[in-house]
Amino acid sequence: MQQIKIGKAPTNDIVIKDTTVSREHLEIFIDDDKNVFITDLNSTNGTYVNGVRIDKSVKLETFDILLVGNSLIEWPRFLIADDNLDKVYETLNDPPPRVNNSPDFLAKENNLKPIYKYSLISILILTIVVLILLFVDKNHTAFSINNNSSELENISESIDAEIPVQRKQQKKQRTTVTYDFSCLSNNGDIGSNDAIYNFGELTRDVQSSFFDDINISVEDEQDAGRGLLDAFKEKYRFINQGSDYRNLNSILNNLVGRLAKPRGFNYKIYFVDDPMLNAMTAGGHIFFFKGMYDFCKNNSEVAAIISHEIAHNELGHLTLDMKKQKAANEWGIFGEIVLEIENATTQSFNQKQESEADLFGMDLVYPTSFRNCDAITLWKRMSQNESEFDVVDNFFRSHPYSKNRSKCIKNHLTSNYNKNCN
Amino acid sequence: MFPDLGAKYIHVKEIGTGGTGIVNLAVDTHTGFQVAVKSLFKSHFENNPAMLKRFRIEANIYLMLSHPNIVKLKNFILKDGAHLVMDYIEGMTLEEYIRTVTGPIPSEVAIAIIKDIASAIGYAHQKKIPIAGYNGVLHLDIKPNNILISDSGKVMVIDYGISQGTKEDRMDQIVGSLMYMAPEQLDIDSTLDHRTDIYALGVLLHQMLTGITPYSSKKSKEDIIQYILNDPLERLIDIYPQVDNRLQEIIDIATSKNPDNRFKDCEDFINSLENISYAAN
Repeated sequence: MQQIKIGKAPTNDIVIKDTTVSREHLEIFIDDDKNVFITDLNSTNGTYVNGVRIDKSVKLETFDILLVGNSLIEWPRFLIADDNLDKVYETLNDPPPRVNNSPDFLAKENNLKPIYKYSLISILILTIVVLILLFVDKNHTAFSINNNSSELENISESIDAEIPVQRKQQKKQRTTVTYDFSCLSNNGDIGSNDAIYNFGELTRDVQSSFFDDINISVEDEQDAGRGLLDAFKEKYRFINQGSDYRNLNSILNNLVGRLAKPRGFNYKIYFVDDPMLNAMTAGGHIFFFKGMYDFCKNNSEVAAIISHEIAHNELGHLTLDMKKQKAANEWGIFGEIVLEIENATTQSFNQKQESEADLFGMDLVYPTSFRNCDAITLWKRMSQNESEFDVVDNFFRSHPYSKNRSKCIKNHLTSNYNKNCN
Repeated sequence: MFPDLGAKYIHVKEIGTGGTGIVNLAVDTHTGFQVAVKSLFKSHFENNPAMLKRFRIEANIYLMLSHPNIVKLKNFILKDGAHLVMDYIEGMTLEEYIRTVTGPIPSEVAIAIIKDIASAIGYAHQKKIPIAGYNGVLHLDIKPNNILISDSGKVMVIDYGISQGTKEDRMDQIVGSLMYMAPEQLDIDSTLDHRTDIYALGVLLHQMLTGITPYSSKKSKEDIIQYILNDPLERLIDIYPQVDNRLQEIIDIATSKNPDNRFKDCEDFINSLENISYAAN
């Protein structure tokens, strides 16, 4: 049992120097069961519990706020000595504090330069530059080429000079996966016609061996990439600051870090300020259009596209086309004939390559925190979107449909990673 | 909308609304001081008694925390709802301050501000209060909107409304202030401790130094969650090259994914900030 007097007069147990507090203002009584009762001693300005003035004795309950004149009284303190808080936990009716557990988580110049002088070939560079998803706004379909470069190099340079971040050892992509393309030869899907597909494969094999003697290095590909970059610089504005730009770089760095056997490209991403729904790559340069970025609903979708573009480089999809360019350069007109053959079958090459890039890209995404399954929803949305465009006059029309690609990704994730996407 | 609180309080104007209540500016006619009245109306908690309890705990926390950088309780009224009467701080939130006044805050100033905040947060961590479940008071919702910068330059911590809280409280919060959350806060079943607040202090410092909200580039809530769980905050220097990069290490420690790798307490955090010296101008 305990009795505490509160007021302005020095004779009180607790003295409050507040002009609105009476000399003898309030009496607090605490019984042996730690019940707390208060009695106002006819004070001038009154005693309030939770804002309500009391005129006789009341019992205080947990969380009640006691105001005397203009002063708040921290009454729960009276229940305990400072060094003995456990008793308070007993006094008040709530469950005991929770125990702390740690949570579960947790350029080479010489060879190729003259090539760019041939305008036909220049156009070809663009055709072969591997496009990821296409379907565009019609107004943005023509490219023009011109050489010139300057400040953009510097900008990308400064990204490379990033302060090293202490990260845990990054997990690499799995190298034991198998690629199954049976999903591509399907019925009812525009652009995935078996005959075209097989014809393309055959032509490709023949051409491959035909160009066996021509060697293309990573440097050669990087040269081609620079050519494309110069062309793009003429035509587009690049966004090279801001959070979206940094976001793209951060995703790129994350994915490149997953390459098990990198060919040695110095990857750079360019954020193209254009509403086209597109992304493309050559020689380690990745061009990501703002239209595509805005189309992506989350970073996992962005990662699906970037990983796909990285894959085109790593899988050497440019190599054969580069060989043809080199041949054209060396053999003159004969090269042009080859190029025409190429044009006739571009479509089916691309489908296989696109799908191959999808799957390789998924291998890159798998060890990251991005969600593989989001690639499927992205492709699906893209193929729905595609039908909205009048694709006939669209440069990217030749690109095969996305539906089978979704299926390929799904199969790939199931058979190699035991991962099922809806 | 201002509640009828009797003759003691005269309404001046509404100064803010939130999901659960309204904040009004009023004058206490007995003292002549301006007060901020945060009101939770009956309709808000009629079907959710836990909400009222949380509000009453908040009042008790303010009552028991006495620190120059923590806003003070003046009264609590249970009438036509529940109303917290607090000291009114003339000024703006740190969020508004960064957004409209400073942009990136010079390192020296940012250090001074974060030290005040950390000192208040650390004081509360040490404070034993007689409410079950509270062995030291965690804030758990440290963000620029819950820090006030007064016109005279004083830094005040507000909103102990979530503090420890129940699972439901924390669910609500995950919806609210994702960006400042530590990885362990995203796991609703984990138990939090003072190091969770230290993580948020690190994020807050990052925002002050760069002038932009963390993860501003992320496209969706899922992206933010993935980044919180897996990636370090963006490098200061990438965002704002003029930054004092010595602060990067401090932020990295404070925002370690594993609480064991963070500063052990606010004092430790403040000490390392003090070790960064500036030549006198």
